[in-house]
Amino acid sequence: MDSESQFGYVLNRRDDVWVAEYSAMAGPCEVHMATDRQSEADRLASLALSETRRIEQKFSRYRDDNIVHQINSSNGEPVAVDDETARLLEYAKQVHALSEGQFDITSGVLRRAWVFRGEVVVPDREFIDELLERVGWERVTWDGSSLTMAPGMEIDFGGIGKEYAVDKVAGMLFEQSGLSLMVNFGGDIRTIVAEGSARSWLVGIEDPSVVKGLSGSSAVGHAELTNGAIATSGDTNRFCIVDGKRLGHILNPKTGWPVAGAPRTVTVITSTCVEAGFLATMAVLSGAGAEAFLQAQGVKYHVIW
Amino acid sequence: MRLQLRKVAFIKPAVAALAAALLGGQALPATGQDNVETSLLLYSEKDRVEAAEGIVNVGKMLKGDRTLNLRLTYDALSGASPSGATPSSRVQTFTSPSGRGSYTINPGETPLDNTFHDTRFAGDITFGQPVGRMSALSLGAHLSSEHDYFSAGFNAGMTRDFNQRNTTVGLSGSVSFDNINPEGGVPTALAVMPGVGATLPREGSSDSKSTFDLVAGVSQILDRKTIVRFNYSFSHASGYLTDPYKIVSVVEPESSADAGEPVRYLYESRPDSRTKHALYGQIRRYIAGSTIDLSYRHFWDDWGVTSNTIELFYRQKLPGGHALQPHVRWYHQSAADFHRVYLLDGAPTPEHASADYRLARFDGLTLGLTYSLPIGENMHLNITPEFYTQRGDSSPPEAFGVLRQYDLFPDMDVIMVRAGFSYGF
Repeated sequence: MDSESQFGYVLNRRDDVWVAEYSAMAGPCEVHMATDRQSEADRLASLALSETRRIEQKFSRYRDDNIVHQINSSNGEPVAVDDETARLLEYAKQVHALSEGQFDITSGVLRRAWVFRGEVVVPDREFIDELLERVGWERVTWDGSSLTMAPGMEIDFGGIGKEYAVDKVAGMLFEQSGLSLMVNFGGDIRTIVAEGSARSWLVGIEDPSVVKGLSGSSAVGHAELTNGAIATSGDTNRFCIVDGKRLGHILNPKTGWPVAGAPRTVTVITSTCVEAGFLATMAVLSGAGAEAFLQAQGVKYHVIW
Repeated sequence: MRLQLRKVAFIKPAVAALAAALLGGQALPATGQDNVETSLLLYSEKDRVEAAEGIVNVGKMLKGDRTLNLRLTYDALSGASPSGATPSSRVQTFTSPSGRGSYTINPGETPLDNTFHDTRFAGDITFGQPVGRMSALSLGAHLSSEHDYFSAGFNAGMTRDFNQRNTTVGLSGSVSFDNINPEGGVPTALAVMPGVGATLPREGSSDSKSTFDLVAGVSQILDRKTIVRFNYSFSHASGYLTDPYKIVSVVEPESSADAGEPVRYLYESRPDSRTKHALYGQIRRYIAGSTIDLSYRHFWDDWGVTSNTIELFYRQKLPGGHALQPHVRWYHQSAADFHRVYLLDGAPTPEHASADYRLARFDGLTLGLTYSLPIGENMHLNITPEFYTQRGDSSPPEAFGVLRQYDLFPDMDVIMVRAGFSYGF
């Protein structure tokens, strides 16, 4: 019997680390642990898996048994939220202000007007304008413990949730073990090196436009991290063509349109995955000014145009 | 056409703070990132030197894991420093270094040169760059300037990791060129200090020295909580190594009725080269929220000075990001071969002689406590009160006559307070 069917993850020894692999958050998840002891790796892997599943179940917009569904179906009624959800909403509120409205967790409904399959599309401007009526954090009443939204509005933690899970799982495993470790959820990565250890984690930065298996390695660069994080925004395979112009899948919540002239993907390396993810998204939202934005932040980055 | 310039906002610190708030107080190891550190040191020797020092250090991570570090230091000193002369039962008058003035010392008191005051400005810059996966190169330069001293130098170092990064070996070297421009010129070695207004015995207005240093070291991770380091350092200096402001008393011999009383004062004289060696070992261990760091250093040189230093740090993390770090350092050194408390009138003058207490035999003990407190996201304030006491031979066996009545190595007690501020972003 293989260990995946028994525990939900597969544990393998690679070089001098144990690596747990499982599927969650719509992609492959890996946890690398710098220990020789398989029993310790097993204990941490099951903790990582249950924490990942917990966050996914709680904040997925595709379920009808969680707080997100409760909020999105509240029909104008206030919804009281737990502490963790409150922290995420508070974060959403703050980054909305910091981004001058460009990062908005109520913008998910706009995706209904767009199909990003690499095809030529004719956007339905009236539909987009209708949807825009249902978008805007400034229309939300959030008092720190309960949230009230107009009927038809929706929130979506898609732009925050995975990065949050990566940092959360990494922090929890380190608190539990004190080990050097790396958490990688589909390219969103957090690495930790125990105090006193000289280890560093070598992370490949992948070019998502290269189809794996056809041309071998898809790595376009490497980063060596001690305590750090990597997150990527954008997806080279998710775009549409309007009037002969290629538009990526990241939508400006103010216009309802994809950002013109934006890089295909932006990868940011900084201290936490949450921070890297936000800065990467802000860079894409800056369009042609993406690199100027990243340079002003003083972070390490990789941009694919 | 109007060109519209849109200012790009610097939002990273705010984003980092928001991310930290979202993730809660995760107890994570410190991260390598840009940092700014500033510190202010206040130093007070009882009845002697007072000093203040300000440091600003900026560390910057560049593309490709390169690092750049810039450090600026400003010191201001004033007060009195022992000149090397012995106490006497009479009032002693000394010519100031410029030759234009004098100062007097009361009977029985240790002669201190109270004309001692200076400001120093120093800057250094270091650039680090990884070479391949396992090696790193660093290059640096420094400049330091006082009204009578100028120093400039360069350094380079290389480290290489082995054994899955559990072992690091390093080699670094530096050269420094110093120019000494003493007030009143460079005194002729062992010449007699003349009275006020007389022509000073001088070798010219300035002199120079050059120093070459080499350090070879290895650090080894023993287990995930323990690291040990060893290094050997070599240093060779040549040129003007004498302190132009220090003197030696020539005293009446034991047969005289005034045995031990000063007859005249000579400018001190040191060899024109010095070769130093040191071996250093350190072990650091992390134990559940605390760190113990114990180190030992053994030093010897061709001036006959040997010294041993033992230092112990203990760092205890406290809840909420606070930390306490007591430390203790014990130091012992033997005297240089040419250290003399005095020279005897009528006896042949040796080639080299210095009465500088820093070349005498003494013990030093430092006790300190650092308290560090978080004052914001990635910001820390450190306060370190420190007490240093130095004890030498107050009544050395060579004391005779009037010298036996006096303290020939007064204890030195120093209180220092360092306040530091660090910000990582």
